[in-house]
Amino acid sequence: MTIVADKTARVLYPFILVFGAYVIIHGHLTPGGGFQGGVAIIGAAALVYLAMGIRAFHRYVSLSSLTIADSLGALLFLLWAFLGLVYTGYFFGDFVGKLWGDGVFRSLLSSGVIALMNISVGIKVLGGAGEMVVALIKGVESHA
Amino acid sequence: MVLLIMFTLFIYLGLSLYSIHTFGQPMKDGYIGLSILNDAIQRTHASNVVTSIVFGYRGYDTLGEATIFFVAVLGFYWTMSRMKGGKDSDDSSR
Repeated sequence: MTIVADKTARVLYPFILVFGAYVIIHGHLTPGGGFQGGVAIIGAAALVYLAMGIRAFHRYVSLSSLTIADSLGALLFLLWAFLGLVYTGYFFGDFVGKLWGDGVFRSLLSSGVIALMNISVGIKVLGGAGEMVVALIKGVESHA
Repeated sequence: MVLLIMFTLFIYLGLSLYSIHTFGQPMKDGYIGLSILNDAIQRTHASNVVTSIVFGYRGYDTLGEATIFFVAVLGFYWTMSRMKGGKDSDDSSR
């Protein structure tokens, strides 16, 4: 890419990463959630590839780490569901609210298990969308 | 035979349009949406009601959604890694 795109992306992509993390973590308080935040983070990774090239992309992102994120998110999501089954008697039950209380309304530590599920789905979508981007980049690079 | 079954199903589904409620009007009975709107904040303590529905009231749906996403990524990656073609690629490795 040109030097304009390169320098602009170098300034912008940390802010996009922070915004994606904010959307994931505050998913139970403000509009957005795990899916949207994860895709925003992977959007920053795609921006890095488009503006800075394959080498800069693979300095930050690798397929194995994305696979780990994908599987870890799915397993965490199931873990919260089964902990709900153990502690409340219902699959997907709110075990955090039962054990430690629901927290202060509109604060970060509120809404019980919903916040935990939100974050684990964010990790999962980050991994899955990142694997798709890596597959696309492989296809583009093999024809370049 | 299949045509007869399809025609009967078509007639029954068409007749069910008469019992659907008016478009844009809230339903008179079975107001599950209204009860979620009224009770969601007291029951889940999440200020984002959409998230409380997606992860709280409809947790099974989100589980299926995550599974579908997982399988979709697997299929996409498989397809892309098998995809060859273009002008300068040989077809012998397919």
